[in-house]
Amino acid sequence: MKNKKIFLVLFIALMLAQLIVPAYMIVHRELVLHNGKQYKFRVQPVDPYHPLRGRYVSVHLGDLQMTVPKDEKYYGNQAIYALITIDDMGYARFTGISRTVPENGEYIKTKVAYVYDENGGQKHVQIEAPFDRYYMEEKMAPQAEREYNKHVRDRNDNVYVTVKVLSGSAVLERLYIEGMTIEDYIKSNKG
Amino acid sequence: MSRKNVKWLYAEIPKLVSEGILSGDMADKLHQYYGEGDEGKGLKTALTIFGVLGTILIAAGIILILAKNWSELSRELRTVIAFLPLVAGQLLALYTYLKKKDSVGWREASSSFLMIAVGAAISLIGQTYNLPGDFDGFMLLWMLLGLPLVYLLDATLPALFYMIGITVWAGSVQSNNGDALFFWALLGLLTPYIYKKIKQNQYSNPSVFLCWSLSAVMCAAIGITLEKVLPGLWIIVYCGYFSCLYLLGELRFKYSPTIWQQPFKVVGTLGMLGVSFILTYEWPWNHIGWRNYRHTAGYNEIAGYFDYVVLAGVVLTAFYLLYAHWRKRDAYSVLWGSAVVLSLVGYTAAQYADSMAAMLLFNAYLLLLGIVTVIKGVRIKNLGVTNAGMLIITLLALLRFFDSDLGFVERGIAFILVGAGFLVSNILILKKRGEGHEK
Repeated sequence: MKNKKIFLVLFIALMLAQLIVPAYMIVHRELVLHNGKQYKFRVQPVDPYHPLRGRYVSVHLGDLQMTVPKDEKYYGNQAIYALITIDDMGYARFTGISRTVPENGEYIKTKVAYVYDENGGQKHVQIEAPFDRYYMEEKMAPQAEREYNKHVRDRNDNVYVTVKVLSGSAVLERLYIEGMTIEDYIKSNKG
Repeated sequence: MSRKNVKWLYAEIPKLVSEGILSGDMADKLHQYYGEGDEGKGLKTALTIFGVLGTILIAAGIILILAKNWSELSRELRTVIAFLPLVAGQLLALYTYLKKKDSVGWREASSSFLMIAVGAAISLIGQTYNLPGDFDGFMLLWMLLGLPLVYLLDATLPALFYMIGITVWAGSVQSNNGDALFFWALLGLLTPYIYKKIKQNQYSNPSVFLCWSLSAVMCAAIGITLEKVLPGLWIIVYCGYFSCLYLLGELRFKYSPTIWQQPFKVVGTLGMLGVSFILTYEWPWNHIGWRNYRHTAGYNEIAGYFDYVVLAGVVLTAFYLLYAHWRKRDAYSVLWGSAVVLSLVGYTAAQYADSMAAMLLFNAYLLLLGIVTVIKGVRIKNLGVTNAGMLIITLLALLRFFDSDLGFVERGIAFILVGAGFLVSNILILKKRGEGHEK
């Protein structure tokens, strides 16, 4: 009988854990969306041979390669903070990385993808993009991706994503083409 | 044993007990071992299987419908929807735990549903918030949130999901230049359950499913987690692993009524034959050993140490099992399980002398295995065993004649000899059987 009670407690604990994990994911992102600061990031063309596509548009950021002093130690999968700067046109980009939480300025927490040294005594760190996809309705996604690539390749400056950032966490909000959300853009182009 | 035979046995038991040949205790044990003899049991099993399959299909269907990105729905509504199957699965599991704990069907179905729902909830939230694709983290989280169901609801299917899930996780981590050694700790979390099931009844469906899955998953995971800093180490590790499986199967599952109930022996035999056939070529033996140690940046030397732990583990276990069979004077099993010894000899030979020697060694080994198996088959008058032995010889002959420079005449003669061997051994058995009947 006692055993049964202990098991029931464990059972309820498991159920709570199963609920808390997704709930935490939601609350965390909602906080970012509600209280975060909005940035616009320009995007780049995507590799058209991505295998798992269909339900989202792959979004590629430029400027993911950072040059760092040679004596700073970086390694793959290391947690780092990417510093955000806003250019004259109002777009955000990453301009540096830090291994500790930056004291001032906005930043997004991400990971080191890989590190490579160059002969000239420079060291480069490739960082992982903190956002890389935009989910859409499955019929719309492939068409959206075609439009995305077309506009980006034509060097259309008007393709960007809006991202909310709060204390190092980033949530991708929307993908824009010509000042319209991609959903609206496709709808208006159809009609 | 077939149902018909069990029925016959159950009809005999009362007579045997009344005449004092069997004790009542023994009769109970027989009943326990063979389970219910009536057809009702088959029907019950079928209903359980279809019930569970149905539940899994329904779960998958619901999730597919939810996975459609309903762009017209608000984010809040989509989040609520992500929780629906999860909460439904939890209520179902809780009901099963409180009211239907004795029903295998309920336990398996509700726990599988919940396991799928956990993964679905997490990935639906990822979709709603455009989270970057962290597949490894997702898999790990999903599996760890599902694993306790195995123990709490005493359910086998979630255990199978878990085994496959952590293997996929390991493959994904390793292919992203990560290190999947943690896989073994994750597998370790399941071992008490597997051990318990085998102890309860090693021939029951749950045990058999778990053992098949365990031997296959470990086979894949060894390949995934080996860091491969020392070239050719896989030869010894895989020979050792399959030797272990075969010998363990022979030692502990020898009297299993059907092949299906001998997962270790079957995987061990097929795996060992597969690896041995690869090793009859020269290429696996080239450029192996310490002299070709990989120092380049892509290889993690520390993780490489684990390779030696795995190596020591499988080799020592295989030697222990070989010794156990040796003590039982089971020369046939010792021969079949000695691939591990040959791989060690071959590895040393290829490293310090000639890769040709190692290759020849495995050719000779397979030929010997074939011949001994044929002889055994003839001796126990079993056509299946005899022909399995002949098949090994034939396959070896085929492989060698396709890559050697022998002329047509030599090849022709060799094939005629092998063919004649087939016929003679089969005729011998039929004749022997005939003699047996005449007596």
